[in-house]
Amino acid sequence: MRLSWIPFLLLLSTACSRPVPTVNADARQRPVAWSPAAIEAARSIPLQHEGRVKPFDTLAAFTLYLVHGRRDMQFTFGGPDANWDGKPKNVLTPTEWLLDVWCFPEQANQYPLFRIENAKALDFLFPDEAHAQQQDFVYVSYRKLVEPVAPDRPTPIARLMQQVRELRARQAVKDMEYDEQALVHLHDQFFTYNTLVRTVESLHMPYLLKGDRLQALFGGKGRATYAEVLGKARDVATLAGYLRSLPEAERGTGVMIADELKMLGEEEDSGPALFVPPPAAAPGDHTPDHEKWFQLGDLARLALAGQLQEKQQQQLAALEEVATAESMPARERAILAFRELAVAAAGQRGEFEKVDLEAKYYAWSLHYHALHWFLPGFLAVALSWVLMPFNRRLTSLAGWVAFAFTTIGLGYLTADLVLRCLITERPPIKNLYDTFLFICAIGVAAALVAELITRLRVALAVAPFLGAVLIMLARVFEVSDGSDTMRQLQAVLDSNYWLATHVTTINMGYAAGMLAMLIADVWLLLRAFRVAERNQAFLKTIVRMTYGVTCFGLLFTVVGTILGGVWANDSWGRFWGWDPKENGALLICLAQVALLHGRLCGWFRDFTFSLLAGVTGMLVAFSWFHVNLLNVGLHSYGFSTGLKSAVFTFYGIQTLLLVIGVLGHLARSLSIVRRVDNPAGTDAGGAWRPGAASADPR
Amino acid sequence: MNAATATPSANPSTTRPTAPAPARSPLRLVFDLLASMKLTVVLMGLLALLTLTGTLAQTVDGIYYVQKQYFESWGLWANVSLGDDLTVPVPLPGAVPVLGLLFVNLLVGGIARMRWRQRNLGILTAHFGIALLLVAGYVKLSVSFSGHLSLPEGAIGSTIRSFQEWELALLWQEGDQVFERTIPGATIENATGPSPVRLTGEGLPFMVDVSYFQEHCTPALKTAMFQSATPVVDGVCLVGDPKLIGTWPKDRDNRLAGCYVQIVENGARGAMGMLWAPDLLPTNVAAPHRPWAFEAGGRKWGLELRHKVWNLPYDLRLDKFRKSEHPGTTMARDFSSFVTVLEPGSMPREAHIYMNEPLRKDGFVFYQTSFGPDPKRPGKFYSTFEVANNPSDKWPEWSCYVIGIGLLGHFIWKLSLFIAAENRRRHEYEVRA
Repeated sequence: MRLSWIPFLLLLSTACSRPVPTVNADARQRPVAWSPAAIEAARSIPLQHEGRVKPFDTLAAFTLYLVHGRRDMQFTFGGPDANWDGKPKNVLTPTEWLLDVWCFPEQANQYPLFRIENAKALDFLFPDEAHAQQQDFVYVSYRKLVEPVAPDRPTPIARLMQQVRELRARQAVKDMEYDEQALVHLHDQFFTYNTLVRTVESLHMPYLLKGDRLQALFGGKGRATYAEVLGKARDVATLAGYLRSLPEAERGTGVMIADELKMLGEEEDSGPALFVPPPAAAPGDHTPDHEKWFQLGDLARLALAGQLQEKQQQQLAALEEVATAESMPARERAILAFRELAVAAAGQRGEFEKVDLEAKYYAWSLHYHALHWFLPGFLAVALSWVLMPFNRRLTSLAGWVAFAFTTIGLGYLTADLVLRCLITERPPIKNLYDTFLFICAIGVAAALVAELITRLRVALAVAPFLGAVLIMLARVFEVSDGSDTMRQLQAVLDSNYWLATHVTTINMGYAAGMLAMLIADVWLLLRAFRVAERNQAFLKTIVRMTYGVTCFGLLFTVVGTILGGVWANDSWGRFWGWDPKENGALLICLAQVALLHGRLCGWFRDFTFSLLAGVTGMLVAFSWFHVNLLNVGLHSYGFSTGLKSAVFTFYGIQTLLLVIGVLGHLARSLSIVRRVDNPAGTDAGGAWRPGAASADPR
Repeated sequence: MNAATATPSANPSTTRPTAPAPARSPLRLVFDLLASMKLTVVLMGLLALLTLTGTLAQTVDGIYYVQKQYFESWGLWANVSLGDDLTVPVPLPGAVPVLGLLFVNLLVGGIARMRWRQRNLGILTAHFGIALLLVAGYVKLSVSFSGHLSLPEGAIGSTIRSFQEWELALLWQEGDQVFERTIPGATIENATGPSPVRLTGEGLPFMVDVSYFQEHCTPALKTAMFQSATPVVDGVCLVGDPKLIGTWPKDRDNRLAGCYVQIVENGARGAMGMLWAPDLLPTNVAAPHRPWAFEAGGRKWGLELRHKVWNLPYDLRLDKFRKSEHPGTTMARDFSSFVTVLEPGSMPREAHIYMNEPLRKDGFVFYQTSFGPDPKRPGKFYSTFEVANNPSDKWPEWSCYVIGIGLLGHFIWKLSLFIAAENRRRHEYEVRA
């Protein structure tokens, strides 16, 4: 009998009132912090999860995003044996956190892990606690969810499961109320973490050996580890066959152990797989048997069939040492040993190279570096505007510095995109997250080109601003979405040709639409606040820039939209289905065509043109993100609830800017009427000299 | 002067008086209006408004109904939401007149009236591409049809069933052959109450009254628990009330229509029958044909409410279905069908249909749409193909190339002009400085 086998299910039952049983009581708390060498080694341990081989750190980071809403774990540990490293506040990297989860589950289960933002969800889970004074969110530990709040009362998680079961039976999640969706979300977060905890749970629970024959198999020992039991799994199974013929009282634990191994081997588990199978017999063998890595349960199945190979046994022994060794140095040596074995085995299958690159990619965090260049770049260009009336040389210098900083930021961003392409072996956009980085890069590059042509420092101001905002939004989306940004593609998207053509072109159109909107916003604000009012050439050039970027955008949105239809024709049997995603793209095309035709026929003068370019930017946001919130149509792989509030915030800010532009225009119209009465005017001392701005050499 | 570079005069007093324009004939006025770029802008605005309201309406009504109401109609009343409980009906033209007018506007203003000069070559090319795209859409709307063909592994089939359209079929047997006459579902869809739509046919010894048509319903045993709004036949009635059977599926693909029929022979009404159409949904390949049978004029007849069917001129056999998942997950990586086209007088032709790779054969295109476990044979699958017949299948792709080339050429030319002008301006400034 296992000393303590997954008592979790028992805890879930309403009758259960036991706390989580202690596991491996000798090593419940981590005595010291993980060494940098161990962390560095663990970061790039290859494992298979959600259909792809990825680094340990990626799994840890995205699980943290999903359940914790942050990339790190911060907490102040209470209790008599707390603060083992002497710090009042502990901050764990994703890798350290996952090492704790697998090696010190008792401790990790007490971390303030689950981020609960919904007050009603909190009241539902802990009805006896006062939550009236809570802030935006509360962190709750795993342990608090699985322990009963009072004797003879069900655990919070048991009540949550019951409630979610009823809710799901009644309606689809997307049709639920906001508070109900929060409960379902918390439920899913809990099981994501629980799956992770269970990945190596068997290693923490030695088997109790009862019965002379069974003990004789293990050299007279009273307990055996999981690795030891798997080493003699076939003998145990044979023995169990004999023991079944004996009266129950004389069987010992041999039958139960054999049954449990069989059950483990048959379990389907969505958790990560840590054990590398041997290389495929034939190159390019994509049969599931050769592609799927092994979990602990798979090892039990292989052991019972006598197919457990020596390398897998070595990996298992090393992992058991990582999880259960008495001392930290021993655990850390085992981490290095386990990594070495896993890397060698994955390398033989040609699956480690990309893992190593991915671990480095996240360590380098290139787009974050880009943000660090965009922000000072924007400050530099702002400085150049401030200095302009006073010192031409400094103005020029600040402009060049801004250009250099923004270019360096773009370089980092481009390198980031290239690395993502190399790791995934796909074109730059595979999912919504990628669109942020790609649109950011294209938008910044187009703005820099516009700046090189016009030299007004308007596009130069827009470039780092756009870059910084989109990178920050990408980070927000990454956290709120909480899913691997290099995840496998749905079958319908599995086409590098269409990803490289349709998806890329339509997103270039989005980038141009956003850029045109920002330049138009600048024009509206300059006009509203009467900056450079005397320099019509300068203002005209800004409008021409908006016009040019809109032309650039139209080419890509039209071609991208039609290419999308051609792809849909090959996948779904129709070119156009008035699906929300298709309609969103069409809206941008219509708006841009209307803009250009209205401009050509003289209907849209500078003000109307800029105003409508601002509206077109809102349509870009509608197509890019809002349609994904509607949950309608065939583009279900893009449905998302992330950034809902950001989309509406953007609408609000952009509307405000347009209203300011309209008010400024109205005020200006009134002032023109006044100026007609007094043609000489009184505002000749403006900051801009007529005809000079567009040719400002910086 | 080019409108793009014109600046409005700030002082009305300096405006030069212009000579009165010569009177234009009404025909000329219409021509000018149709060729007007301002009309283009108005039509773009209307289409954008229609697209935006139609997209938002899809969250309530589903794609099929919105498509019919907004994008395949001449006009509509759109419900514009002004709050949680406040909607205002706003009249809008449907996409048919808007796109039709746009096509005329494009031909007259964008092609015929445009100056055929080298500088306009790019724009003219793009306009030709858009015209081709609009024609492709019109051909698709008016000529094409599509449905699905669901086959279990090893089965042969040639009957395509519509996803959304229904029809009423009258069946009779002569010798070994079954004959049928069909009536489009649109004919009976308005008979939603007790007042019947009467159907007659040349040579038929009877008429059929159709009543209580319901777009989505399910047969239910009449109990004391509910009041039936429809007739009860042999203790069973068709229930469509969402309060009793749950919210209707948003998409018409998943709705199951039903109606009541009564045979009228020699002025006398016969027994009432109940028709329901759960027929071969893609997920229900094993559903049996169960027409409602009756006798009239000394012969046996059958009536069947079903999704509209077409027959292919050849058979398709599903030899094998294959699916693969990403390792360790249930997420489909690929699913594909190996089929054989069986055509009388020709050698069997094997083909592989998978995502993004349809089979094209004699104007029909077969797309891998769906799959599922064969309910009759464990371990085997059925595969569903969407089958479309669209003469303009490839036209959008060609139009894309034409538009792309046209726009690219035009904008590169415009960009070069812009760069030259900016360089000139900067040079002049430097000389002045």
